[in-house]
Amino acid sequence: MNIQARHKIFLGLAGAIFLLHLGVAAFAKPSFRLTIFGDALPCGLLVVAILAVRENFRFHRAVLPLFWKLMAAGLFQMLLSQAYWFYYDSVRRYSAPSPVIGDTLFLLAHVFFLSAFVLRPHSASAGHDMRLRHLDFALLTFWWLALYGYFALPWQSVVQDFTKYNPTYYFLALVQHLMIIIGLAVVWKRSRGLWRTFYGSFICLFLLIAAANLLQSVAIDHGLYYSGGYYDTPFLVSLLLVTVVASYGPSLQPEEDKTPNREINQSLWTARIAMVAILTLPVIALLGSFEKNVPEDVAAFRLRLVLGAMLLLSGLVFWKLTLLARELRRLVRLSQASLENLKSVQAQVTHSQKLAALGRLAAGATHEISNPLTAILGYSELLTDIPSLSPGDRESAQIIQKQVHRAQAAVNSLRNTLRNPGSLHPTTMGEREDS
Amino acid sequence: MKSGSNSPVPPAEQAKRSQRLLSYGYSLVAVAVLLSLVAALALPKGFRLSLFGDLLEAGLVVTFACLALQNMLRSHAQVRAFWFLLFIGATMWLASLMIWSTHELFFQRAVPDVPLADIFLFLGLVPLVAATALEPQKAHDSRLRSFGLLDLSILILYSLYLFAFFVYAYRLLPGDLAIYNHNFNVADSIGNQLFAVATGVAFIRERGAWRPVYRLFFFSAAAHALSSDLINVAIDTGGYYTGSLYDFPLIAGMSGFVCVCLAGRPLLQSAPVTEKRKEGQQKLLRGFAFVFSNLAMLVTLSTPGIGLWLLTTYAPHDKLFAFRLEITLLTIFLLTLLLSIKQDFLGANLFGSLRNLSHTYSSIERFKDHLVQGDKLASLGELVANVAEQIRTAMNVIQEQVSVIITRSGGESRSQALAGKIGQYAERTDALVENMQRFAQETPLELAPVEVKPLLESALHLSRIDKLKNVQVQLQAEADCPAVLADSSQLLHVFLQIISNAMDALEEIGGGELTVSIRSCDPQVCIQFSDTGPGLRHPEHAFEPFFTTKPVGKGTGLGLSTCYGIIRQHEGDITCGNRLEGGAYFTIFVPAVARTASESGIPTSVVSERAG
Repeated sequence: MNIQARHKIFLGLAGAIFLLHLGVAAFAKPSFRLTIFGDALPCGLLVVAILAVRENFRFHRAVLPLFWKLMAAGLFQMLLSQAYWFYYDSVRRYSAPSPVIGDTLFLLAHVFFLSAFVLRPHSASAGHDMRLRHLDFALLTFWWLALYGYFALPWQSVVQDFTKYNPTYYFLALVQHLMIIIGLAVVWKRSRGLWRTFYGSFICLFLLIAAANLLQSVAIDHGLYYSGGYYDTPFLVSLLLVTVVASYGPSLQPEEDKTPNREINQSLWTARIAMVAILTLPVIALLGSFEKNVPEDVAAFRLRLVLGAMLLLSGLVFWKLTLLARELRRLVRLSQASLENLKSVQAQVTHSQKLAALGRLAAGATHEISNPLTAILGYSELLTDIPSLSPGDRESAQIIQKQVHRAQAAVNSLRNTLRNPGSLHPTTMGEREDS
Repeated sequence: MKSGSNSPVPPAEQAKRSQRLLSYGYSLVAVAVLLSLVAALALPKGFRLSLFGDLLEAGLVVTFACLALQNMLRSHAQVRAFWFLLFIGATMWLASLMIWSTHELFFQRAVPDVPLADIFLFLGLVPLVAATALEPQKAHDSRLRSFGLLDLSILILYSLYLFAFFVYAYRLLPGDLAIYNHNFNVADSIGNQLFAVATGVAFIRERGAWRPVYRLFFFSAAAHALSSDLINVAIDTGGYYTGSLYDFPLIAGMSGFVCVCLAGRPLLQSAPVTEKRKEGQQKLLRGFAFVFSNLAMLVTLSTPGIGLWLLTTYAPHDKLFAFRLEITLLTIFLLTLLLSIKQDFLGANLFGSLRNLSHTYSSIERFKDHLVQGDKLASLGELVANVAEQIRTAMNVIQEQVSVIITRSGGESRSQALAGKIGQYAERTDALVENMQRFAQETPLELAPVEVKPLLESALHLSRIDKLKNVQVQLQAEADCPAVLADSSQLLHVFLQIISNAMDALEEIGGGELTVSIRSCDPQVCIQFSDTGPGLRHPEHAFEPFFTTKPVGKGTGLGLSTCYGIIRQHEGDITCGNRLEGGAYFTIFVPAVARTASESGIPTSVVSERAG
């Protein structure tokens, strides 16, 4: 079975699950069974989406395999997050003791999506110099986790206060979605053809997830939400879209960048953004130390978190700087070596250069030689014109004429060859020798 | 301090002069130290003594700063960095001293309590220790050399942080200056001891020309450490006043620093020395280099650690705690900012290196294209050799026939004359072809006396530059110019290449003039080609392989580099540049055949005659 057909099957499966949801949501009343069903649906859709994305791993075009792997990793985290809810709601039959694990996984999933897009899958030159990018990616991930840990986490782990935790969490998720959407909008505007559709679909997808998240939070606040109802529809549509976008995979072809050095600039800027992100942490902590209405425990937790995160992040930066310096030294050595190389082969080139000069010289020489040859021919004709010339001399003059013709023929063949160097290859040499 | 003239002075006299200056400096310093001793013993405690003491100290530190600055301006690279760091340290001390003196003299306080002065005094040690660790006299590996201004800023900032955290913070506690003073003394003492130890280590390690400098440096640092401990104790016991005997080691230390600058003056232009080390030492040194070049990074890492340690005694309402927390966070921010800048520099550097490398690679690509043609060119060589052989055979036959005719036609002048003409032309053709043939053959350099002028004429002829409509060629040959020792075909190649370059240049702007001059520049012959074309865009790169400014496909960028190779093989030289009047010039120097008799070569500079 070929890939296209398999993608069609996944699309059919996803569509079927989605239709099932629509049908059930229309007729079923909120109940425990509906909750189980409602929690299972996204898991099913996610599994299908991951399988569909997995099909695209095999297309080794620029960074596309890595892109799809990051997407799959993100989807898998979402699956874990959904499975976490499913486990407590359905198997243990009580509300999860803390939303932290599920929420962290959900936020982290988006970090993976974001970094997948930062790779610029549409570019053919993307994906060089990945080692430092990994570090930047790690820096940004830890930074984002630190933000979650700073703003939302203490309201769960230090003080149990859902009225502060939930809005903060949803706000962070919204910021993350907006970041992804803005980034995607920029690439979408620049892209053409299938890539435009590709990025457009992703924009829709993340708009839907953001909307679903908002809808969920509002519905929970007003006590209207229940699993398996129409409140889940936007989220499920977005998951359906993942399978749809994955089906573009086989036909995606990376294109050359229009601006040179785009890739290097990109990695420079990624590094800068990562550093600016780190810089925000002490600033946030400083500003936070002036905040009055925070419980002491929360403040202490936050400070520990920021300082611990700074320790970790500085360590990563240290590692990165060491790598950068080593890379720089390696490059310097490399360019020195290649320069040495160039010098050593220059001798060979001198030889061929000499021959090129020979070509020019020969071109001049044919011209120079033609003149005296013509003169010799002229004089020898004058010689034969002398009526009293002895037969022996006449014969000599004829020999001279013959030799001149011979020389002229040789000169002409050289001239023709120089005029049309394309005809020059060793096989023609033998033929010319006879003329 | 006034020998800044550039007039040529013999090195011996210069050394003597600097020696004399040095001894003046030493005696001046000795006078200052003696004066302070006399004043301390003779003058009673009071305003006049304070004024004298402050002025003397300020004078010494100003001299120190000025001399360090002057040394810095006269030196380069590592040595310059060393003096720069000394200058920064001196400036900070000066700032501290000025603040102290102002308070003492204008506000009339016996022992002023000015934290700002303390801070500067403390911070001044950082560049001084860094200067000692720099070891300017040695050639360092690249790792050590990467220590830059940013790292220095990080270290200064970090010291400031430590000072604020451990010392200054206690000023916030109401009415308790004792802890502050005690902690400051401890911090200052630690800093001073560290400085003394660093200079001591540098002194022990150095065996070369810098040893006297380091000896003075070590003694001064030790005197300074001793004096500051002494003064601190004296202040605590209440026995100190400015200008007292307690100040004597301080004055001695400061004078020592002035002497360091004077002793370092002869070494300003000294080149770094690479020293051989034993294996174990090498390892140790590498470890030291790693720590040193990453010191900035390590201290940055330690700040969150200090913060976490601080949090173990979490007391949000404690003023001391709040202050320490805030400065820790602020320092983390600033240090990370500096590190980001460093990272950005490194990244940009990497970017530049990458671009260079890709440039080299594209050169190699071009080179490969060129080598593909190599086959073709090789068969061209065969073809030329072949054709030349045929023509020469024909010419030989013709010459034979000519001699037959000449010997046979007894006295018939017309046929003899015609045959003679034929013979002449045949000979000329033969010579021409022989030249070409020799060029085609792969022969090692055959050095023989070559007359430049005929060779140049034939090069001009062969290049057919004289057939171009808008190009005038002038050949100026100095009479009585010696022959050169060269391989005529190789030299011809060089001429052809340069003429063809000039032709391209002149054609580009629609015509002009090419002037070729031959002069004797004993013991060489100088051949100069100057054109009125647009000039060379990058004369400094002209002889580099693969460097071409011509459109792709036209120039290979190899021609001139080959010329360079050939001329160097001849032990001659080739230079190029742009003329002031516009256009490019190429000057070739080739060794002349040694002349036995007439020695008339007048050495003339190339530049001055370029206009002609």
